[in-house]
Amino acid sequence: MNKLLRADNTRMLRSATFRFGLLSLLALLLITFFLDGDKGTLQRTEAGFQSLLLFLPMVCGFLIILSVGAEFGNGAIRNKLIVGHRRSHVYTSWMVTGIAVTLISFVFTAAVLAVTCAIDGGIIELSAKTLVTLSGVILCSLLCNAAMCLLISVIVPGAKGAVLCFIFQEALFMVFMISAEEGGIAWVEKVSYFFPQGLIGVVSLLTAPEKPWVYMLCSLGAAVVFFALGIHYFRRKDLN
Amino acid sequence: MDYVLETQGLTKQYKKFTALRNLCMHVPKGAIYGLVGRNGAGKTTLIRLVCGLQFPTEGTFALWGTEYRDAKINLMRQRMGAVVETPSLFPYMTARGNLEQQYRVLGLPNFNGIDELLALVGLSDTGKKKAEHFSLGMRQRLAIAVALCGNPDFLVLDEPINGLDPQGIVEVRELILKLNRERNITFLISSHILDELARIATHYGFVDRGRIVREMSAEELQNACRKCVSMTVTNTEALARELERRQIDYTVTGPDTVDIYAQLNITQLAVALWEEKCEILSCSEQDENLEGFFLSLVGGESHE
Repeated sequence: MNKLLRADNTRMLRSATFRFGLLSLLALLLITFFLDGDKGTLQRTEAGFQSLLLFLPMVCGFLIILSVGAEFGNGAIRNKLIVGHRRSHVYTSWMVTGIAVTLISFVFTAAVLAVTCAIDGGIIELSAKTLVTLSGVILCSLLCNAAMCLLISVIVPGAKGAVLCFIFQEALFMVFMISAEEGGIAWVEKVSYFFPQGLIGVVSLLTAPEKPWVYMLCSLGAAVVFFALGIHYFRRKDLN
Repeated sequence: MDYVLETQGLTKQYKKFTALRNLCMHVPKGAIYGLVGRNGAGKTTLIRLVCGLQFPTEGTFALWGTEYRDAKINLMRQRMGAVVETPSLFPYMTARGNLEQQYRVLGLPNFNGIDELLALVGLSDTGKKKAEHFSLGMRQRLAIAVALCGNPDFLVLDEPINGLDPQGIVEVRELILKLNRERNITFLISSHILDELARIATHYGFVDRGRIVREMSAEELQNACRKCVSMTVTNTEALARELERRQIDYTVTGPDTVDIYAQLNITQLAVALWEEKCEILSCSEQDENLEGFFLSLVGGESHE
C-alpha cells in the first residue's frame, strides 16, 4: 500500500496537470476577487471565498479524474495489478492521493485569498473559531467531492468521465443557486449538506453554519459511501 | 515437471460470447511457451486472466502451484511481469521516468538497476526524449524493460512483435533469447506470426475457439513437421525390415503407411520390396512447417 501511495503521490505532485490546476485556481480566484473593483475588500474577499467553493471542487475533480483516467488510458494500471497489488489497495491509494490533492489545493487557495486580501489593503478580522469551523465544513465537503469524482473516474474513465463530472458539478451548482433565489427548497437544502457547491448559499466568510457538525457528518458519510461503492465496483471490473 | 503456470478448465464468458472454454495448459519452468492461435482465438483473454486484469467465469489457474483464489497469489505475481497488448507507459515521461515509476510501484529501495535495464533493451541514449516520441519498437522495448523491473521469473508478452519493423523484430527476439538463457526467465508469448515464434519457442500451445487443441514441445513439433516420404504399401512389415537393413529412420503411422525420414532411391527400394512380394501403392513427400501444422490442427476455415 505504501508503495502505491509513494508512486501515485509522486506522479501526481510532479505532473504538469497538477501545476496547471493550481495555476488555473490562482487565475480564477484573482479574476473573481478583482471583478468588482468598486466594492470593498470584505465584499471582494467574500466573492473570492464563494468562488473557492465553486472552482476548487471542479479543479480537484478534474485532477483526480485525469490522473486515474491516464492510468486506464495508457494501461499503466496493468503494471500495478500484474505485480500483485490488490485492487482495494490501488483504489485506496487513488483516494488518498485525491485527498492530498484536495488538501494542497485548499491550502493554496486559502493562502492566495489571504495574500490577495492583504495586498488589497485590508486585513479582515475573523474569529479563529469561525475560521476553523468553516475550514472543517469545506474540507469535509471537498472530501465528499473527491470520493464522488474518483467513483466517476473508475466507472467512466478518461475524458468522458471528466465531462460527466463537470456536468454533474455544474448541475449541482445551478440547482443550489436557483433554490437559493426561490427562497430555499427543502430537499435541495438537504442535498446541499453533502456537496461543496451546496455550501455556497449556506456559509459566509463571517459566519459559520449553525450546526457545522451536521454538514461535516453528512459530507463524510457520503464520502465513505462513495468510497465503498468505488471499491466494490473496481474489485469486480474487468480491465483490458 | 515444475510448472510456472497451469490452468484447469479455464472459462471466460462475456455475456453471450464465450472467449475461453474449459482451457487447460501447462507452462514449464524455463520454457519459452508460444501461444499460437488466430485473431479472436482467446490468447489475449487468457493472458488477461493470468495477469489478474480479469476474472475467470469458471475453472482455475495456478502460478508456481498457487491457485488464483489463494491469498498468496499476490506474492506469486510479484515474480512476474507482462506486456499486455499495447505497451503500458506514461507517454509524458522519459524512459528513465517510466522505469522509476515502476520501481516505486514495486517498492524497490533505490533506482540502481535502471541503467542496466535501459542498456539491456538498448534505450540508454534516449536522454530526455519522452515516451510519446518513441518509435513503436522503442516503446515495445521500454515496456519489456518495465516488465523486467524487480527481476521477474516469468514474463508474459502479448503479441510482442506486432507492428515492429524487421530490425525491431530481430532486437526483441534477441532480447527474449538472452533473458531466457542468461536469467532463466520463463516466457509466455502469444503471437500469430508463426515463423517468428518458431525461432524461439521451446513449447507450444495451439489455441482455437477458446480451447487448447494441442500442447507440445518444440522437439515434438519438429518431429511432427519433419520432412519425410510417406509411403503406402501392401506389407508394412516387409518395408520395415528393408528400412532397418538399410539403417533408415522411419515411423509406422498406420496399418499400411510408413513415414520414412531420409532421401530415398525409390527404384532400389521398390525392387527390394518386390522381391518380398510387397507393392508400393502410393508415395508422397511431406514437408510441413509450423504454419502448416497449425492449419492442419485447427482447419483453414474462418471462425469469424
